[in-house]
Amino acid sequence: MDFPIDIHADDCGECRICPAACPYEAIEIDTERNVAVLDQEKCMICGICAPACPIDAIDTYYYDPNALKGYLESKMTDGADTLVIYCRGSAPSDEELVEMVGVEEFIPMAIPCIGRMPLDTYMDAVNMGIERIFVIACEENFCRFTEGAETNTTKMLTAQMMLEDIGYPEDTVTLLRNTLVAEVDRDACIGCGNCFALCPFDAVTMESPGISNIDPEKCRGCGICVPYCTGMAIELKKSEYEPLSKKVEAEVERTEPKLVVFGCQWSEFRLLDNIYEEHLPEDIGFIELPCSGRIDPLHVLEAFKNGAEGVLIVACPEDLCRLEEGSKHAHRRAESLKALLEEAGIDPERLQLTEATPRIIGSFANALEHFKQNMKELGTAKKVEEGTG
Amino acid sequence: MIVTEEKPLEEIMSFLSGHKKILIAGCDGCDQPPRGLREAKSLALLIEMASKLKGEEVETTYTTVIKQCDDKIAHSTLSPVMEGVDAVVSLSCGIGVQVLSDVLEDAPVFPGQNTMFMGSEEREMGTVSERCAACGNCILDQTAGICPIARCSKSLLNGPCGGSQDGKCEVDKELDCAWQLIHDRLKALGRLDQMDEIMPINDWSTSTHGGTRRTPKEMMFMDRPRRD
Repeated sequence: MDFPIDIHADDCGECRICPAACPYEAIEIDTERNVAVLDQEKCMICGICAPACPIDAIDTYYYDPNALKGYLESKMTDGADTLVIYCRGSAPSDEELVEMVGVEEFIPMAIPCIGRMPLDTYMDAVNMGIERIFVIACEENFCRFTEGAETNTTKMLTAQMMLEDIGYPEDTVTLLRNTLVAEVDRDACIGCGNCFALCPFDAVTMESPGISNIDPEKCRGCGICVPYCTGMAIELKKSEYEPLSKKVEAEVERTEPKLVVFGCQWSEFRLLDNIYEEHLPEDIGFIELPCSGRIDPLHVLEAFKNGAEGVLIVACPEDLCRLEEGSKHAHRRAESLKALLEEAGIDPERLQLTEATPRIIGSFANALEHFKQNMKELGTAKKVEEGTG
Repeated sequence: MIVTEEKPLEEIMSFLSGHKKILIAGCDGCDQPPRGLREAKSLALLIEMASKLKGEEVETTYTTVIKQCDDKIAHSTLSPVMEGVDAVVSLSCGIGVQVLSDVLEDAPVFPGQNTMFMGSEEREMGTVSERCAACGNCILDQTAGICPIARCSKSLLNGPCGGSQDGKCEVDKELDCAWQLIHDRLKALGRLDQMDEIMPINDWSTSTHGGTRRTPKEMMFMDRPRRD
C-alpha cells in the first residue's frame, strides 16, 4: 500500500456515495472508466470514506474494520464487557474518562477521527458480547476533520435503532461529547493581548480592564495561545501545564538514553497494536500534544534541565496543520529555543524539529529513528543535572 | 507601551557572577513584549541551566509584579519573597529597575532588558514602532494624529524637508516620511490648509531640557483643580 487510503477501481460500483461522504472533495467519479478516483493531494486520511462504501472497495492502512475487530478480540479475553471508543481529539483524561462512563473496567479504543468508525464495528462488538458501548466524540463544530463527528452521530443513531429493534436495551450504545478547549484564569490574566492577536479562530475577545475572554464555541483547542500567555493564565483542557511538566520529568527519568519527543497527535496515527502498550520503549519518552502549536518552551527547557540529552518536536507539515497555524508556531518556537539553548551553553542541535504526517506511511517512525541516529552521532551530552563538577 | 528587548543571557550572567540566590521579577505592566510570570520563569530556568553547566550552584526564584513602576506595589509584592535573595533581575523597563533599586535595600537590582522607546504594536506586521517622545507638549491635533517629534527623523515641526523622497525618509529607505504621512492624512480629511500654517519654534522646556521631569500625580480627571 503506497498511500494510506486506497480505492479499488476493479470493485468500485460508481454509486457516488464516497465522493459525497468525503469532507475534502478528494474523491471524484471518473466518468470514462466509471470508477471513484482519489486525489491524494486533497485527501486528509480521515478515513470517513471507507465505512461509507457499501461494497468495501476502499482500503485504509490505519484502523480498518478487521484491525478494529481484531483489537477488540484481543482485549476481550479478561472478561471486560464495556467498550469505550473515543476520538483522540476529544479524549478526556483517564480520571475524567472513568467519571464520564461510570465504570472503572473497560476496553479503551482510541482512533484519530470518530467519523471513520464503521457501523459494522458497533454491531460486531455487541455480537461479541460487549454489553455497553460508550462513544466519546467531539462536538460537531469542533471536529478537526470537519464532518467526522457529524457522520458518526448518524451512524450511532442507526446503530441504536437497529439494536433496539432486535431487542437490545436502549442504553447499549451511548454517545457522549467532550471538547478540549482553552480557558482563561481571569485572576492571572494581565491583558497583554497575545492570545487575542494569535488565535487562528478568532475565539478571543478582550474585555476591559484588559482581561482575555475565550469563547468555548469558537475555540478549537489548538493551544497556540498557551505558550504565548505571559501571565500563564490560559490552560488547555487535558494539556495543562503542571501535568505535562510532571510527565516531562517522568519521561526523562524513565528513558535511557534520555530522549524526549513532543509529538502532535495529528502527525502520526499509531497502529492499534501499539496504542496501549503498557511498556513504552525504554529509549524514547513520548509526550502527545493536541497540536504542535501547544509546544511549550518551558517544557523543553525543563526537559534539558532534568537531564534530557535530546528533544524532538514532531509537527505536521505547515500546509497540513489540522489547526491552521499550529505547525507554523512550532517551527518559529523551535528556532528561538535553539538560540536560547545555545546562549545557556547547550548544543542547539540537541533540539530538533521534524515534520511527519500519516499521509506518508511510516514517516513518524522514520522521524524517530532519524532523531535517535542524530543524537547518537552527537555523542554523550554534558547533562545539566551533572554540571561540570 | 514601553518597548523593551531582552539582554543576551551572557550579559545577564556577567552581572550575576558570585551571586547565589537570584530573584527574577517579571512585570505585568506596559512592557512590550510583556514580561510576566512565564518570561520570569523562562529566564530563571535558563540562568539555572547556564550556571550549572559552568559548574556553579545557583538558586533562582521568580515572580511577577503588576507594575514595577509603582513603588508601593513593587515593595509589597517583592519584600515578602526577598528572604536570602542576594541579587534581583528586573524584567521591566528602566523605570522598574530603578524603582526596585529604591525599594529593595538589601540586594542589588540588575536590568534584564534594554529599554527602547514608547511605541505601538502592529500585530499584522509583527513589529513595534516608536510613536511618542514624551515631549510634554502634544501637537497631534495639528498634525492629523501623526507625531512629527517622534516620527520625523529631524523632529521637524514644519516639514517635510528635502530628504523626503517618494514618501520615504532619507535616513532609511524603509522608513515612511512622517510629514508625507501627515500630508496624506490631512488631505484625506479635507484639512490640507493646515499645512500652510507655520508652527512656532518648539518649546523644549517641557521635554528633557528642564532636568528630571516630575509632576504631582492626579489620581483621575476629577482630581484636577477646576478652572472656573
